Amino acid sequence: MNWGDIRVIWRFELRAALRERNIVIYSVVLPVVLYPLVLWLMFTGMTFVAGQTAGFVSRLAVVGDSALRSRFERRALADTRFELVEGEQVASALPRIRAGAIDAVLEVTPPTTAAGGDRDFVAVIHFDGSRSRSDEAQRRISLLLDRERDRALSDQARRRGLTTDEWQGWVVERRNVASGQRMGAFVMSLLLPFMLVVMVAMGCLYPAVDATAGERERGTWETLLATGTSRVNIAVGKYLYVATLGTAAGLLNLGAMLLSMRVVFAQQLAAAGGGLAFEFPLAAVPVLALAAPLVALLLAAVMMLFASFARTFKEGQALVMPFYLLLMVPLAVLQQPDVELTTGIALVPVANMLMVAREALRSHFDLPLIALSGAVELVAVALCLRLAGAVMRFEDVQVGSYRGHLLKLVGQRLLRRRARSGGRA
Amino acid sequence: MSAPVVVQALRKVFIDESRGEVRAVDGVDFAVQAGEIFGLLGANGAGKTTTLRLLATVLAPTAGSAQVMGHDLVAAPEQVRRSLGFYTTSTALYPRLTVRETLELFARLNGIPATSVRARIDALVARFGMAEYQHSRVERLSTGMKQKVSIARTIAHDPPVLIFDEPTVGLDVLNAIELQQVIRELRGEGKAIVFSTHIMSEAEKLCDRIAIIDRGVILAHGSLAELRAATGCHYLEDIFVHCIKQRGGAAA
Repeated sequence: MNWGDIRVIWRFELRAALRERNIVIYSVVLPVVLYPLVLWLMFTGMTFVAGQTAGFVSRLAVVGDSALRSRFERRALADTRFELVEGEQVASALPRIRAGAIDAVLEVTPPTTAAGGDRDFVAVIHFDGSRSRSDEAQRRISLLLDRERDRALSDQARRRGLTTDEWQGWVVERRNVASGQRMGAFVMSLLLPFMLVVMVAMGCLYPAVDATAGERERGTWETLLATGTSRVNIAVGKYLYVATLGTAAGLLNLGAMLLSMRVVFAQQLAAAGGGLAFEFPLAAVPVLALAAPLVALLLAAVMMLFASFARTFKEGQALVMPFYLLLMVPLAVLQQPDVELTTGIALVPVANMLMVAREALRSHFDLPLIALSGAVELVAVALCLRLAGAVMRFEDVQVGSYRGHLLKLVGQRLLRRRARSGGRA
Repeated sequence: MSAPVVVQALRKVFIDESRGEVRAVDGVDFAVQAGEIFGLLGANGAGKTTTLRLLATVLAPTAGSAQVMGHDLVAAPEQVRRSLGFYTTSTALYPRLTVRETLELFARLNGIPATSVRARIDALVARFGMAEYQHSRVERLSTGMKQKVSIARTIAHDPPVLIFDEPTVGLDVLNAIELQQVIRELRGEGKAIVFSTHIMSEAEKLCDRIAIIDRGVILAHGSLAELRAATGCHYLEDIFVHCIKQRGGAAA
């Protein structure tokens, strides 16, 4: 190999690629701008919808015992977020809830046991969980009932000369021991590694097709083959260029996502009453800086292998896209929050790097498993490059006259040849 | 001293799924001297392009041998490629690179050291009158401009051997004449030129020696005068038809 020639090919490929609109969009613009923007828009949209729902007046019907009914109607009338619908019965009101004419019905009846007296009652809230407005009405009625319970407890305690806490007897409080920083790390660890792998794949896809099928379509492939450098140098230069853009896309996206989380999300969450802090653990930097290129080296090799059988850019995309979509399946499975990096996962290329990145963002570093994952990734890269070497030895594949795809060639020539030589041995 | 290009019993056999074994080049012999234009004249599918691709080491021969500037095609393909410039109408340029970048890329990949590249590019830009558009991207150039860039990139590393595979196909008359003039100039500079064409008048005007090729076999070769003497025909077109018919008769 001549590293000088490889560097020349890498540099010129990169230069030409950064002048190609599609490659710039998919490898630079989308990672930096679009996905953080989409997430921001989603969050803003959700906040907006929640705000809209909060602004609704809930149309409430109270039915049941007349004394209890008038008591809760008074309470509801005192709250401007309720609008009373009168003259309803449970049987007639339920279809009206489903039709959206009423948001909820509060059915209040005296207790069936003797222990209650006038202090106790049974309340049933009828609502339609499939409508956000009805669901919001249910939430408001629950709060109204909670306040009513607190009021009753206070009255009872006062009559007995006790404080409310003394009369209540016991209190349940929920305290999340996770700090805002830890919760932020949890959210980041779910989102960022997944996006890292997706964006590395996206960043590799167009350059891989452009460097192989695109070259044939433009008619520059033969020009390049006739230069004084070796085929290996050409292949390695192009491969490193694809992996570079994949790595760049992954890391650029990571930076942009992190920035949007810290600057936009954190502020919006704080305004919405949340307490997440998106602090990036510095120890995760070398791990992510290693994971991104390793994934890129593997995906670049596989994508170029598939695309090198195409004669046009469109054909190349069609050959690579199934692999890209297939890649998403294990990634989606690993999105379960409680999945951890185990020896089994460390043996699965790409998935292992996603888990290594996730653990690093949670400040959890299992060095033997990280080393095993890295080694597995490198072995996978080496196997892909070996396969590429075997495939490129066929002259018709090199010059683009082979009519078929990677799997066909492997089945037709590599496996059969091995079986034949195995038979002779 | 041996000729810059020596071809001996060169063969190329393709295995075609539908047609079986196809002998695209079947035992071709020729040599090309420095300062000579050697023409390969044949109909479409005669084996001209395959022969030139073998010489440029884009394809590997099935049998036979060839040397370019003393380097064997199979044993030293990179040295062979560094010794020649390969131009065909089907070989395109990188649309997103500028003219200078294109020349730099091909000069570097053909072994011109980084320190000498700039001077070489300046010389090429001046020679072909490309100063005005040397910083423009190739995709923005006219056909004539692209043709100049193509020739310039072919000789970017100043190779002693040049291969032109049907270079005037698709060009208008003026561009074709301009290209022929450049090829003559290159001959004058001592380059050994292998030139393929199916246009009789072009071969007649340009080539010092002509080989008539049909179905992978060279039927006759020599200067126009030698071919006339051998066949008794005056025009190259008649010489060509005579050779083809003679082969057909021999085969029958």
